[in-house]
Amino acid sequence: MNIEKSLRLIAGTPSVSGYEYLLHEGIFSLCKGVFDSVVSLKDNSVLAVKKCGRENAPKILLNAHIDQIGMYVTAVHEGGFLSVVNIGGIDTNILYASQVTVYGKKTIKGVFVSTPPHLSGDRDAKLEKISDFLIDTGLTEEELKDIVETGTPVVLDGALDLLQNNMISSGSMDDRICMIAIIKAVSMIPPAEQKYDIYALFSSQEEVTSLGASTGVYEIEPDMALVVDVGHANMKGIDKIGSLKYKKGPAVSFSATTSRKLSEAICRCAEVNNIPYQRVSEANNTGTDAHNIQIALEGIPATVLSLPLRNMHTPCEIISLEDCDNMAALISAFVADGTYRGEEVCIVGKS
Amino acid sequence: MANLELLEKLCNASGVSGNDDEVKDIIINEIRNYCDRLYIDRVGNLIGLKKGRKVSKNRIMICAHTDEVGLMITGILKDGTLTFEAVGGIDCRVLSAKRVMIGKIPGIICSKPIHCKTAEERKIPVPTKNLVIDIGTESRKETQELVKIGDTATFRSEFIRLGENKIKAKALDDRLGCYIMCNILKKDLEYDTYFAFTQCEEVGCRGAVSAAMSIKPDIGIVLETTTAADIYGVSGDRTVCEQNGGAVVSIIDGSTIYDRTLYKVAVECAKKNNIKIQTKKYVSGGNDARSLQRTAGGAKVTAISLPCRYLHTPSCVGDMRDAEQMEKLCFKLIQEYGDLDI
Repeated sequence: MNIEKSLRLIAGTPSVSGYEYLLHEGIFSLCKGVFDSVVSLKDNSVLAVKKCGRENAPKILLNAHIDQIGMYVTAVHEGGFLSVVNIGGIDTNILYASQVTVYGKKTIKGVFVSTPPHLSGDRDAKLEKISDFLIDTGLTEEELKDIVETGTPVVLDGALDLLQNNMISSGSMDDRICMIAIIKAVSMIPPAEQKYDIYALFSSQEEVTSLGASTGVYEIEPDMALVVDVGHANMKGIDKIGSLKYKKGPAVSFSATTSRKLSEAICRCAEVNNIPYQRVSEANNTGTDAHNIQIALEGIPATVLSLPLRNMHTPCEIISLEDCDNMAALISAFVADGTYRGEEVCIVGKS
Repeated sequence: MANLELLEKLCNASGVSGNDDEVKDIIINEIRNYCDRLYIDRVGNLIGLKKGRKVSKNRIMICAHTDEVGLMITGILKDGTLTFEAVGGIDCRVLSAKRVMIGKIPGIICSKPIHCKTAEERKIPVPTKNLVIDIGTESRKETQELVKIGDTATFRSEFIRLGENKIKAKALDDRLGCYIMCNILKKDLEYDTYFAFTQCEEVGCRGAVSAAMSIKPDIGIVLETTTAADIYGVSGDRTVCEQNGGAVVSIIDGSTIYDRTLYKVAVECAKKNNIKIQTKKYVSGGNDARSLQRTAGGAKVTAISLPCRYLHTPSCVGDMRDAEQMEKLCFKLIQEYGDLDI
């Protein structure tokens, strides 16, 4: 399974939180032949299952979210302009003069208004709030009202580019790239070596409320969970400490909110199989679906595997293909290893 | 919309001030068979003479600039990323998380993720000096193989249609002017006319000075783009001019008071020929007219501009209906101005 090709297959499809269903067809086609079953859930998540055929095999939840940050249309104005609200965290510094796609009855293009200098006064002074921005569509108000309505999703355009060293830049790789890494991992496991029943939950609305992961867990009742998400790669302006390095493999989370035993089991597995990995400490919160998964049901040992990514939540997110391959290799090796069972430890009496 | 392919090619070409050969090559290829003389002067202006049916009383020079605002690489950091400075006026707010091309090398202007910004940082734009370009390399050494200090970078921005009549592209300022000049050059003209594709307008209207020195025009017509701020919520003179309001014929801008006679002739000419025009309502900006007006003893000048939204950003938006009016007006004015007693 080629990661770049898979990414290109779904790159043009939007999945702003709440509209994940638009991506389902693409996900189904990526999952084809890899899982035993793939179904859509009521909250727009997708659940893909591949059992190992062993009796009493533990269930492992592999999770990546399929929603992306974006915007909803809030109003149509005279002259063919749109107002929008952000869905998920968007830095307004990246909006000025950016190209967008508006997914209305027809798909149309637009650009964010960049206030001309004679109107903006002291340009270095401040950034406007997103509610003060406008999108210029080149259409008339009447034409526009036929195409969009309140709630129509809007996405910042970010073409998929191959940079030097097999680094890839694109929008919405948070977190589609990790979904692809999971599918690749599952496709790599020889059936005879699979030790867990695999439940891949491609969850909705992580960017807003973690809805899909919070509810999806109840469909699965897993014994352990690996949440695969993107993490900040080291770059100018952010702390070296706590940020990830490219090409050093996936980052295994150590946090008060992730399972230390599970994390250590993964690190051991990486070492045994000679797969590069890095450790990352996120003391109080991983900022991922793992936060909710860990305390769902009667508690689920969960941890996070992070893929280094720069420029998160922009149309120019950058990842390393090599890291993706290592991510897939590590997940695959862990499912084949099967040593970790995630069982409760009985001290007195029987469990 | 006529021959948008040429306009697309011109807009997509890389031509940051001082490094615009790619643009000139496209133009040369387009017009060489229509010129009676065509040369690149010593500072890089591309100048063409097209003979008309007659020699006019006044020597006419039409000009548009080939250069665009862009970036220049100033340094290579240890992690392989590049520092840069803006060439020409670029609002730092339009830079974060934009795609650029450094020659043939694609790059990304990095943007610190919102998660890593403090509440204070989220309120202010990141200044240009704190931004870097990432090309995917991991070390200074690796980058040095690909990019040199002093290389220029342009925005990467798709040339697309917005609605029926508008286009969005980088560098409409002033490839649109170059495009109209190419179109006019291909027509039969009444009078001998000089066409100057000038360089370095964005850094002080410098090329036009040398071009005017060598042509010594009596009358200069500048084909340009000018800010249109006719966006929702802006009214009156603050809009500067309006899209689909026709060609903008200037009375005054930030650096030139235009010749009153030429202005009146242009207004009359537009009326006579049913050409839609408007004037600039706000005193701001400037263009090559300022150089033509004061070089080599001076010339009378007119500027005909496209009302263009979001100038000097990766996403300039222009209305081709206005471009058609510009072309018509400029073509007619060659004759009208040639006949003038001045």
